[in-house]
Amino acid sequence: MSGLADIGVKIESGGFVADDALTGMADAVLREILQHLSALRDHGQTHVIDLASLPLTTADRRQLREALGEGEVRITIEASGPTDIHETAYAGVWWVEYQNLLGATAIEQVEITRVPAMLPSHDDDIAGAVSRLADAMEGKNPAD
Amino acid sequence: MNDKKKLPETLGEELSRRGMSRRSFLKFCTAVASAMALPASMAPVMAEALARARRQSVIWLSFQECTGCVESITRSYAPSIESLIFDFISLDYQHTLQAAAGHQVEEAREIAMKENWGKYLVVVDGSIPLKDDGVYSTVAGETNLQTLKHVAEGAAAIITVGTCAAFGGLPKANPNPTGAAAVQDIITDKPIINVPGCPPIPEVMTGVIANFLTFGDLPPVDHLKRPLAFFGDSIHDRCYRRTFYDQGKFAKSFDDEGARNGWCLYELGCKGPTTYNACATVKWNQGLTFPIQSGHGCIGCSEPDFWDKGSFYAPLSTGQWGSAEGIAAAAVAGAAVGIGVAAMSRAKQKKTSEQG
Repeated sequence: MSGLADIGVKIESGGFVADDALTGMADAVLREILQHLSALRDHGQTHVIDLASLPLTTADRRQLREALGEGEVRITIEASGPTDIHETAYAGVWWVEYQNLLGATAIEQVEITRVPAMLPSHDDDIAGAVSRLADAMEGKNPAD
Repeated sequence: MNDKKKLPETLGEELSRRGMSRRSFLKFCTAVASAMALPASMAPVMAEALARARRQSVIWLSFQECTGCVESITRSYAPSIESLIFDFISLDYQHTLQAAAGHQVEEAREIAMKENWGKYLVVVDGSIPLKDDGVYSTVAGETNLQTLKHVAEGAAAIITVGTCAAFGGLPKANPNPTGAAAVQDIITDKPIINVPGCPPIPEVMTGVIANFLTFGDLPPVDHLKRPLAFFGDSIHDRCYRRTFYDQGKFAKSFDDEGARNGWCLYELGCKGPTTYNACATVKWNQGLTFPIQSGHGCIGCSEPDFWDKGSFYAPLSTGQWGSAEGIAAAAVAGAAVGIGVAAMSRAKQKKTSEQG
């Protein structure tokens, strides 16, 4: 065999990975979540934390995710690429992971709410669905 | 480009025409809000406002340019939600994309200007030659200078796309044989936003247009009129190799141990520390990678006169940044500081956006 297989690959280990240090940011985010979760309980106030806006390392993010754990609900939405949502072990705290069409994680958010914003059907979509269903029952081709 | 009679009036109608769900749209708005450092809870509000936005007339002027900016914007996406914005605007004049030619096209531009006087957006790519009365670039017998002045008169705002239109770019490179100038050197009485880059990142362009459609205004800008949300941090501030810089670990050549380990490219001429752009966060090719991630230093293409600032492979002047050894010594305890700086400039962005 010739080609790519001929190219030697040197595997190195023990090196420091740039993004693999804990900075303590996960603890700070947990405190923020606690505050917003209390506000949800007391005033029904919802909140979204965009993890991309925080200087979290990969290790921080892993730590935060593990600290929040997994709850009862797990949902996948297929809309312009998958969106994975799960409720964490703490009711009202949702982990939302938007992926792009290539399947890479585009945005990660923690939503403090009863129902994440991506879930409910929108009025416009429902209106469209009414006519589509009616058409389908009359045997019309939706492409017409 | 579609059947004229059935053109949807609002973006929401365009969504249903395409069979695109509101969830897809909300996802798009979430991405835009995140990229623009708007509060994350803004996304649903933005989605509602954008869905009600009416078709926006856009006149696109191409001057001394290579069409790389148009390539960047039109070819970067698989058919996706981002292309929606681009399809939704009414692109009334664009040399590369329009089907019509000759007098028809110039007429179409005049009609679009009359119908939308004071309301249309002008997008410019390419610089404008001023030497010898601007004879070095003409379209339909008009110099670029005449066209720009004429079209800008009725514009609501001007978006420059690419470093040529924003700062003069390559045509302006020493010795600047055509006397190339930037849009902001010529038009001074209209809101201008610069989206530089060679080419610029497509998402930045989409973000600026989405912002205009949502808020009816251009987003907050820095001293070079670049949208702060995307140009608020240097490449270096947000670079994933920053940790190595802070530890004083530098690649010394493109094939050494350091290069293979993904160490900092500062000594190989990376212009990340003096370049403001969103490559390190938004990245390219749907967020896949960016030059530094592919092993090459930043060339600083979103900064004025980047072509004339010395070799792409010479380290930034030692006068400005000190020696790599000096930096390494100072930065041993600097990792935390680096993260702090990134967080601070992000906070600064947020504040500015909220004021806007």
